[in-house]
Amino acid sequence: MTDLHLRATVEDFLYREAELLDRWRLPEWAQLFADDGRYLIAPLGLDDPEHADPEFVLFLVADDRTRIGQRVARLMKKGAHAEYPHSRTRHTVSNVIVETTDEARVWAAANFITFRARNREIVSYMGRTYYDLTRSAEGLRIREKRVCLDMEILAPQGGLAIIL
Amino acid sequence: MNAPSMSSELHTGMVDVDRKRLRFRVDRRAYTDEDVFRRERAIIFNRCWLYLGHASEIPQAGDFVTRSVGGYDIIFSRDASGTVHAHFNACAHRGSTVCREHAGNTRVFTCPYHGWVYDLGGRLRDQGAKTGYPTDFNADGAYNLRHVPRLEAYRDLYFVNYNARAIDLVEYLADAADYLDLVADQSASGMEIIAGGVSLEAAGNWKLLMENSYDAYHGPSLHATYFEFLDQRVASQNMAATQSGFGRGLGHGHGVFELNLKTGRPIAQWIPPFGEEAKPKIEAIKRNLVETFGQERADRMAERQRNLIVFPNLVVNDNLGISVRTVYPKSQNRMAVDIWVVGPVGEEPLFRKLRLDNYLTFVGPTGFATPDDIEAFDLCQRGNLHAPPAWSDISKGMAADEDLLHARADFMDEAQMRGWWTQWDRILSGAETLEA
Repeated sequence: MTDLHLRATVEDFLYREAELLDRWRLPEWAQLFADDGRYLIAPLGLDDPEHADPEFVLFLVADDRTRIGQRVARLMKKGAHAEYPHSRTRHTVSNVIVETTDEARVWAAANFITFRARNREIVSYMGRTYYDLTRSAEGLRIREKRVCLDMEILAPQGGLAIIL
Repeated sequence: MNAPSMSSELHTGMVDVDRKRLRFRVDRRAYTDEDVFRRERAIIFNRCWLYLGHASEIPQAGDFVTRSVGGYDIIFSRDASGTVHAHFNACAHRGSTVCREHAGNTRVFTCPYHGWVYDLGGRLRDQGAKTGYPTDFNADGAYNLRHVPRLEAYRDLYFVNYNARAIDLVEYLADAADYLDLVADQSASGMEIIAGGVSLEAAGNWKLLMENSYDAYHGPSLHATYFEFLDQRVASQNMAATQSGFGRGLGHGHGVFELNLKTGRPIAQWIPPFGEEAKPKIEAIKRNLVETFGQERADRMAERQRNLIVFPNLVVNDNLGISVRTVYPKSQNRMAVDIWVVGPVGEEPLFRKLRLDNYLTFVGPTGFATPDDIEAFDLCQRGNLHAPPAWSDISKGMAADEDLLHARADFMDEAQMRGWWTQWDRILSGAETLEA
């Protein structure tokens, strides 16, 4: 039986995360991660990206908390040319499943479609994100956000400079 | 040295060399003209050796990989005897794509349409039908999968050539072979492709990526945010300001820049961010290199880095995370890029982690630098398309008596690019056939 209160709490957290990203409030987004938090984007085309290990397989993104801060710091600069001027993005989250086994940890999975509009073109990224969340005094914090994209190659997107 | 004799030369008219004014220019229609795109496909990609794949991608009998090489779909496979093949992925019956998987292991390839079955050597084994064909139907092998005209390997790197009369691969590689040795020799156990390569398609003519791949000049400006990130990692070092090195043409249009940029290398240059645990291990790897190859070559392998281009479209970045890329035109305005990462077979987990980590922060399409290169391709192509006809300048560091295919200059100059464009001009105009 799904804990409806917990489910609402997690969904609210995911929607607020998406809101921070779409508003380019990236330093605040980085604060959603725990000190040992990781932000991962698994390689494309794997059969089991949910369980791949970034220490042995080349990920698209494998940031620890420090690197998350560096990624955000770079993206907020004018010199991050791929995102200057900033694109408009719309992070859409759905199909949320929440599981928990103890007081401290929550696992969640959610489908996403993120649209990116820039230079009169729109591209989209689709996939499922797996969250390992921890409960703290300030609310939920991310221990791991693992993005598993459905595309086989980065086409037509070309690259992936935004945060998913 | 085979310096072009300028008097008898054919030219496309798209490359303008003015030795008196030390000016080397390329007509921007070379990036935007549909006819140039068609001729490149027909001539450049049918006369040059093209990178197909690495032996480590198909280590076992029955292993196969499918990919597009120079506009042709290829099955790269290893048969039961260990022989490596490259077949066109089209059924001899009606032309259907035979193998639809990206990679796998099999004993036969079965065409989904009428069920024709081929073994790993490409021989037709079964037509799926019991009647209607004479018993000697395929006696001459005309209904086998077609093999590419030429398939050769250098240090586990397999290349194809669609011209049966082409010069051998080793001769084609010219002085680039030595630079491939510098990568292959980094591990006695051999090198391998690491899982997780990525493909992308981006706006821009494919040649923009070629130029960019060994263009150090754009680093401090386009990649300022990356250098700021690096400086943070290696305290009190101004990376962009302390680089030094050279760029040179390697013959046949190949080129390289080589420089000392202290970013650290698992093989074998320790820097503090790698951690104390890694230090003695990296130093031991370095000592081994010195014993095997001598101090000078070991220093080059371990403490310098290289961006190599094998004409027309293979990039080997021999730096903190070794990567291999190919780029092909989808059209004159769009490119298709495949990227692989390379590491030593049996590499210690700590070093593999460092290697992947290093790669991720720079050359990946999600890294701290490549997205800005991809942006630059788009910006250049827009300027090429949407401004009056003009020339792109590739003169930096040019010398009056420069042998364009073998020129050498500072790594911040453009000698290596002049070699590439000179060869492009020679092949496209018919002055160079690359035939034996």
